[in-house]
Amino acid sequence: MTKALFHSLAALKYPPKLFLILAIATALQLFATTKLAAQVDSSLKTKDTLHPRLGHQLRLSFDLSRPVMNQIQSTHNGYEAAVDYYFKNELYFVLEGGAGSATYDYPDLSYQTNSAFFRLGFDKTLLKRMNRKDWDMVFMGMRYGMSSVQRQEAAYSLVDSVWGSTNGIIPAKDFLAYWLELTGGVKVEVLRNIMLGWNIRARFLLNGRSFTELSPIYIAGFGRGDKTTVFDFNFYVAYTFRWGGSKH
Amino acid sequence: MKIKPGFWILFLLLSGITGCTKDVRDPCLQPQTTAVLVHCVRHFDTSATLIDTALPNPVLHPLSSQPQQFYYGGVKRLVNFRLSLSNATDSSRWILRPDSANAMQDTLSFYYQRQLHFLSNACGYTYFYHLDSIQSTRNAIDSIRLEAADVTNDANVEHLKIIFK
Repeated sequence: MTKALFHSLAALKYPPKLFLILAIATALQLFATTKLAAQVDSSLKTKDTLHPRLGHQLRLSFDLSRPVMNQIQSTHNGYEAAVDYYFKNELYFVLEGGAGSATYDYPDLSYQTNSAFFRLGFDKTLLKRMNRKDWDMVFMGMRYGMSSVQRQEAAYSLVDSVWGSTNGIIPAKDFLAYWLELTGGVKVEVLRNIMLGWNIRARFLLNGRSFTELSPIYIAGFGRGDKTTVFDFNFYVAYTFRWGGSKH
Repeated sequence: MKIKPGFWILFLLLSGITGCTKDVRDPCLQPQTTAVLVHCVRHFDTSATLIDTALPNPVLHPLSSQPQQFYYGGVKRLVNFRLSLSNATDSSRWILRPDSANAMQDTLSFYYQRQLHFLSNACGYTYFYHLDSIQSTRNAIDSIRLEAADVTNDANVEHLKIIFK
């Protein structure tokens, strides 16, 4: 993991300007919200006689948008799920994972891919709680993602009316894709322990230059493999487990 | 955290985006064909200076196993033209007759290396070529000058100057 992270960061020779701007904006935002959270935390500490502890929360989420998109888009399909844990100071650790496949089928080019991925990162709540039972959140976060992609044999055809058409096969290939992403969104508790949420994501492929031979049309967890910057969104339904908190 | 109205508005907005997403292949926005761009010139008087010369009524056709096809037939005053190369072999030959009213013609033989090149998912594959040598008969043609050996899908590169007598 550390080695992969090192390689992927080393591969970031030409970071997009947008990435730098977003990274700086995120850093400033997180700095500001950390101070805000610290203030909130300290204000809560002053009331610790009334509310001794915030408690723990573990949340399991399933992305509802993927099954919907699977029905709409015939070229690829995928599934995503996430688990996050409330750490402290309005910071959540997040682990996301899933799998997907794609079929690219045209007369001049056809192939199939299968991929599985994970994303690791954190979410930071931007607004303060109304009370200790308030787990609604508006958040921003960062992720490091990695996907293992298996591309099967690709068949190509070149139409030439002068010299005659030719067909060929590109051998199958396995490879890894690494990316960083910024995310932001909302999660709301609509029923007791049941939450709904959406988030939007900006992803920046770190090793896109290695896909010059035949860039996969779809990388699960990332999106289009022939783009180095992609935007995506998720709709989550989540179930939360809470323990150790104040009853008040 | 009073965020519920905004939550539902954006939820519906993103649902709309999801519903409007279409499953359509991207259009190919770059040239898919690779061809040798030829420039017709002749010497100005007896000097080394080269000037454009227009082929009066040229006829070009490939020496291929396919039924012979004529190119530029009927197009008059041709200064530049393109010749495709076979992607199944390492050499291609073309017959060039500068004027259909005149039986004088030349054979151009191209010898090259092929390289399969991935353009994009939208455009698929094509072949790029590296020209090793070009030979021709010397009926209407005086000589041939290779200007650029790499033949790609860049349509602006002139690869060959044919110097006519």
